[in-house]
Amino acid sequence: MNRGAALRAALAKRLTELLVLLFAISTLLFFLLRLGGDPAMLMAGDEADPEVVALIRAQYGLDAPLWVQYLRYVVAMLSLDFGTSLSTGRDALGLVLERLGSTLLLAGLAVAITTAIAVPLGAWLGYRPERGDRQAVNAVVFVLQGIPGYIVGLLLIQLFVVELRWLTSIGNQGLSSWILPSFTLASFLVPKMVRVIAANVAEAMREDYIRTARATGASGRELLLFHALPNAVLGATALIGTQFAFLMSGSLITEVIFAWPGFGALLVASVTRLDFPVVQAAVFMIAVLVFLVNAGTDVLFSLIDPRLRRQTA
Amino acid sequence: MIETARPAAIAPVTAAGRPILEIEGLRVGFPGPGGNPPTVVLDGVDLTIRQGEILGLVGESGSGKSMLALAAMGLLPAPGRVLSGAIRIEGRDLTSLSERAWQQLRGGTLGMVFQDPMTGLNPVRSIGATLGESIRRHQRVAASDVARIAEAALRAVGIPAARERLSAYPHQLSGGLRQRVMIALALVNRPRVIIADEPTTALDATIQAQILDLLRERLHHAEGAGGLMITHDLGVAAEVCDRIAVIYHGRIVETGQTREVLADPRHPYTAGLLAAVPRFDGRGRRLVPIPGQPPGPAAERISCSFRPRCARASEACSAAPALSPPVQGRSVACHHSGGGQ
Repeated sequence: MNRGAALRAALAKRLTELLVLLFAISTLLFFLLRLGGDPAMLMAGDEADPEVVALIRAQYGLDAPLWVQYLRYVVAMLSLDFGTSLSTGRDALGLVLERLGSTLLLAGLAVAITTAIAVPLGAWLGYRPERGDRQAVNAVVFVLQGIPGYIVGLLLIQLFVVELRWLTSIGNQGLSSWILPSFTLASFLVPKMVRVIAANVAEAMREDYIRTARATGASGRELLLFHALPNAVLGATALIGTQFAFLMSGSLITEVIFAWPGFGALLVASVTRLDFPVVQAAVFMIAVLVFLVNAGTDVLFSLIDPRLRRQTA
Repeated sequence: MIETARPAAIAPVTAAGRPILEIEGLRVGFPGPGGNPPTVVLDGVDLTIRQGEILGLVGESGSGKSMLALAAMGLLPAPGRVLSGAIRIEGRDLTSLSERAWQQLRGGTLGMVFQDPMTGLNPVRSIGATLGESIRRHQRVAASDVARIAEAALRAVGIPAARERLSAYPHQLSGGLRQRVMIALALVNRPRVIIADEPTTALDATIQAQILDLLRERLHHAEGAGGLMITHDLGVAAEVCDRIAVIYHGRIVETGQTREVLADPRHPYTAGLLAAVPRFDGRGRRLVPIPGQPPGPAAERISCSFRPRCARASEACSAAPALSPPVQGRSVACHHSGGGQ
């Protein structure tokens, strides 16, 4: 099989996976949401006339049997039509898309912060894991891993906004408002990444190729930077894909805490309002993002790992 | 606590050049837990390697032979250390060198080939990058010359299409080719001492012969250099080495010219090793294993270490025998060796 055909086959396989995944998630979500309550009742209010409620139901097609609603939903979804928001009347997918940029900004900042902290710290911890200072720091990282991200967020607000008044904690208002939410979101990933990189570095340092490099006169720093760390980071790259789903769930909480105008906060608000179309569009978006990041890391992995790189010769 | 003025155990017997690597009374040990006396893995080893010669260090696993190689490279695994004795390269003692000074020697003056080429090369670095790193570290050459030197190093160890191989990664090469790369890496900076630790043990039998040929040819080719070949296999040593030293339980028990040691082993352990080597010369001959197990490093050293496994053992063996002064280049540490004793 030549390279082009192999690539097309891999792509086709990926696309099939994506479609199956989206279909399964959407179906599950559709029925789960409808277990949650009646949006028409919620919209009409507690003391509304039954007639008003019925009118609202009819207007949004909520009066049809569930299976009919489901079929309409599936057919509409094929053309990426998620319907209009029950609370604002605007296009559901449009609402999500206009907040996509903010969510991606936050996620990107969090990944950058995580990398900037986890790679050097993990390398330091893993290079001489038996030393007392490393073990102490390792214990701290272990404890931090047990602290929920929203607590970190609230503590950061208390310190930097309430006490020190250095930073803003509300919305996306430029750089000073980015710092706290991005560090909060990063706190979901940092301890785990530090531990993975430290473990990978410690393992790499025991490899035979390290001894070979030592025998050619490499210094400790060269062993770490040229030999152990590249292998360790490569191993951790595979983790980014799986951790991205975790990051997305972290961004729901973080966006709510910091009133960040991303679609995570929108999703949380829409769930409480039983705004089905928006919830469906937002979850759809998360599924697509998680999938794309996973596929992206796979591609990245195969580009930077020579063992997976395709032979061109 | 360096012992000095020990008689050199091995006198010059051939027209080989000046001593290049001298190991004298080397004791290496690992500290016991809680301040207990150290576990000694090398106990007073004397070896000399001269320019242009290859010395074979032969012993079973656990005999301390790899520890000797690592000690000579300054690569003893922590917390192992040199307790006493000297390791000299061209007269310069290495036992008290700083780590930085060791780094200048390793890969430059001292080249080492390890056992397993499958795991010994960094999987995410190209062959050219691995060689280039060592070349840049030890040779003052223009950046543009590094690739040329690396390519020449690969060609010298018989790697076809050397230029293309520079951009290859270890996983793209066979085990035999990888070991050739390891040998190129050990030789690329023209070391004075080349140490090969079981360089063919991990390879297929057909490849082993090629690599041994290559090592013999390259080591003899390296002008003014000496080679130390560490092996458990007397056959391999016979193939490559000018002289043989047999090590047992951290002590040299016999040394001599390869031909003479093989023809007339004086130490019962050497004789036992020889009897356990399969031969393919057509003469039907039973393989005779040496009974018992080699002692662990922690075993006592008061009596002769080989005594429990030795057919010739007697009362005299309750005292550990010293290595005899060399007679025509041969030394042996046995109360019952030759000479009508």
